[in-house]
Amino acid sequence: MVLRDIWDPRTKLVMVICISTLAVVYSEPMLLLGLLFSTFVILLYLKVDLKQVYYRLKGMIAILILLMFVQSVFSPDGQTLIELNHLPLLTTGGMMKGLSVGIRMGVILSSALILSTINAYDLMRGLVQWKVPYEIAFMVFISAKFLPILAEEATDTFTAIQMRGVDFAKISWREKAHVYTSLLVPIIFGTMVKAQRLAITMEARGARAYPRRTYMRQLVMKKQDKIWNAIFVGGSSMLLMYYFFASR
Amino acid sequence: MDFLEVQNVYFRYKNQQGWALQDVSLHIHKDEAVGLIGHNGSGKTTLTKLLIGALKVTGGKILLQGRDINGLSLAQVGRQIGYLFQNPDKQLFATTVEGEIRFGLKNLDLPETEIQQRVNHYLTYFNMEHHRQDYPLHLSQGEKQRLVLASILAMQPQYLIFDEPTVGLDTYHCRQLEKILKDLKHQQVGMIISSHDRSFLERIADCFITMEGGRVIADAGNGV
Repeated sequence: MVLRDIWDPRTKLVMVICISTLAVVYSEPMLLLGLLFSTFVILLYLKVDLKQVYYRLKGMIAILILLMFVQSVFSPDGQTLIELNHLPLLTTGGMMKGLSVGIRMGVILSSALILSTINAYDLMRGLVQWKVPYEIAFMVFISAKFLPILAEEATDTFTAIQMRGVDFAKISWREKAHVYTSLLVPIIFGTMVKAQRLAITMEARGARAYPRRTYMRQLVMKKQDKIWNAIFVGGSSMLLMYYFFASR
Repeated sequence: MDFLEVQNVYFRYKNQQGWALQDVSLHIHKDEAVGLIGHNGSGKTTLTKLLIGALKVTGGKILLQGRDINGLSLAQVGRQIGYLFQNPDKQLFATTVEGEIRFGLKNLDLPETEIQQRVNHYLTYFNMEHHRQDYPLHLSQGEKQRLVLASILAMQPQYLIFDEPTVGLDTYHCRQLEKILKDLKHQQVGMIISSHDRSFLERIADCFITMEGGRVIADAGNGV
């Protein structure tokens, strides 16, 4: 058995919900760093390539620095580190707040990678067994299945537009905005055509001909799934209660 | 000098274990019509995308007229090579047929009279004058493909690369495409045509490259 399949998809969903909830509630950088570290441990346990995490977070460094300055200007707490005409540009308080927002985004993006270890069919089955309406579960399944295809198509369209002489390194922001509008035409059209074909295919195969569906394989929560669910739900609840009541 | 030179190229997609291309070496001349043939997944599309620099090689080198393709932007490559994707819908950006042909020409900084002249020429050549103000995505598959080809040819590239150009075309439109490609060949425009349709390729190509499992197993032009 592959290690990433040892947990039921619903257990992984519970993990992501718990981690994301804590990330939204926590505002101190140290707590958020702890949460980020815990998420990395889970990702390593699930054998997720941490390079993916690096690629996702790499683009956030500039946002993180920008956030520090924005927070410093609009909520200038703490000691002023850089100022311009008595206007604080960078403060210790602003830095900490910017850092918190950056790490929070890091935790949410990293925890979402846990979902990448779930087979899309299993995710849909798991949601249906949780009494989520089939239509919504199917939409989740389709988005998981089609996003990589759409990303590839968008890349091809981007290549095609550059091959027609658009040099993104040389054009102005206004021209870039115009080009991006042109890019939307084939991407949206392609998505609509795909959605239409999918709808026809599904109807041709008798989708929703009867109100209930049957599944060849049912997901069964094992003992260890129940234990992990209890640990995550119980642990998160306790951490939240401690955060709101005991630490204040 | 070769127009395109592929030197021991290796390529692997992100998050994939095996090589999509292994130790591929090719010499492609400017006025040559090359047929690229192979089964699904043999690496044809990957190779054509590497030839225009849309994908970056994992190992080895690709030279376009002696210059490393990694040092060129797609816009610079696009002025020399025209690329036709398997699905023309991906390459239609404008709201009118005329606007579609103008799109690339405007990026070349040509004077308006030259642009108008080329637009008119290619609309006539591809028999699409009556569609001048139509919305490109409302055209038939064959018409869309002709429009993309017109838009690319209007930029007057030195070389063309086609990825499965006959997919989705009926016999009539295949014959039309064949005629256009033969005309281009007579005008000394070189091309690589990637296709499953061997009989179509045999009527156009001067030589063949056969791919299997990411390797070139036969290169009639270079005696592999």
